[in-house]
Amino acid sequence: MRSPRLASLATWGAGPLLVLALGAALGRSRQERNPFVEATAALSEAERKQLESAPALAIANATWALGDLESVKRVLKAELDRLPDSEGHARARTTLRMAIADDNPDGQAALFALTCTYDERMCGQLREAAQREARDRLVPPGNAVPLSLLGGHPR
Amino acid sequence: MLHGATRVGRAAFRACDPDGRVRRTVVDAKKSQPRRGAGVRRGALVALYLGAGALGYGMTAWGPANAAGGSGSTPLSRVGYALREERVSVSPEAWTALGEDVEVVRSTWNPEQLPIYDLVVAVRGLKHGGTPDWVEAERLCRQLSWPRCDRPALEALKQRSRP
Repeated sequence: MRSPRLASLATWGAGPLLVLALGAALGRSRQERNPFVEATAALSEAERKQLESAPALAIANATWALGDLESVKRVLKAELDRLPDSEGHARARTTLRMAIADDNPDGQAALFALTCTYDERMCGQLREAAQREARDRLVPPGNAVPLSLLGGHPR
Repeated sequence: MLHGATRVGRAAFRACDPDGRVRRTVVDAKKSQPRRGAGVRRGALVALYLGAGALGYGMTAWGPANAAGGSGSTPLSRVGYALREERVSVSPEAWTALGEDVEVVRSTWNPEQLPIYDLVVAVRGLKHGGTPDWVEAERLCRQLSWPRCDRPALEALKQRSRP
C-alpha cells in the first residue's frame, strides 16, 4: 500500500518540484551569462539607484535637446518631482533649464534663485552653467543664454 | 450469428461470421475506461512537468524582479546601464534579454512620457542590438510634433540624451 502512494507522491509532487528547480537553475544561468546582469549585479545600493535614474535622465536630456516648450515644461516638472532633495546638483540643473526656457524675467529670477538653493557651486557659475545647458538645446526657446545672465546693459 | 471472436487489443474483440469475415469489433467498455483514464493522467503529468519547467525558467530568466541570486540587478538598472554606456558590445542573446527589460520598464513608465521613452529607445537602438532605428525615431519624433526631427537632429539627440 505504501509503495504506490510513495510512487504517486514522487511522480506528482517531488518530480514537478525538481523540474521547477532545474528550470530555475537554467534560467539563473542564462541571467548570469547576460553581461547587462553581470555589470549591474554587484553594484552598491547607491550605484544601483543612480543607474535606475538614468532612463528618466535620458528622457529629460532628450526632451531638453529637441522637445517643444510644452514637453520641456512637463518633463522638467516631472524630473523635479522625481529627484530627491539629496540630489542637489541634478535638481539645480533642472531648475536652471526651466529658467533658461522661461520667457518671463520674474519667473527666470525665481528659478535662478531656486537653482542657487539647490547647488551653491552652480550658483557661483550660473552663467557658465547656463551656457552649457543652452548649447545642449538645439531648438528655441532655451538655446541661448538669457540676457539677464549676460550682464551689463547696452549703452 | 457469430462464430468466433479474436482479441485485437487489451479491451477490444473482433467478432467474425462462419466465413471468417469481420462483422464487428466489440469493445469491452469496462476495460477501455481505465485505459482512457491513464491517457488523460499521462497527459496531465506531461503538462505538469512542462509547466513546472517553464515556470522555473521564466521566473528567473524573464522575471520582472530579477532573481539572479537576489542581486541588485533590476530591469531598470540594466536599461539605465545600457543608456549610460556609449558603446555596448554584447551577444545578440543579451540584446534580446535587454529588449525584454525595455518592455518591462516601459510597462511601468509614466504614460505621458512613453513616446519620449520610445524615442530614446529607438535612437539608442536598445531593441535592435545597439543599432539606432532612425526611421522609427523620426516617426516618433513627428508624432510628438517636436520642432526638429531631421536625421542630424536625431543623431544629436542620441548623443545628448546620454545620462
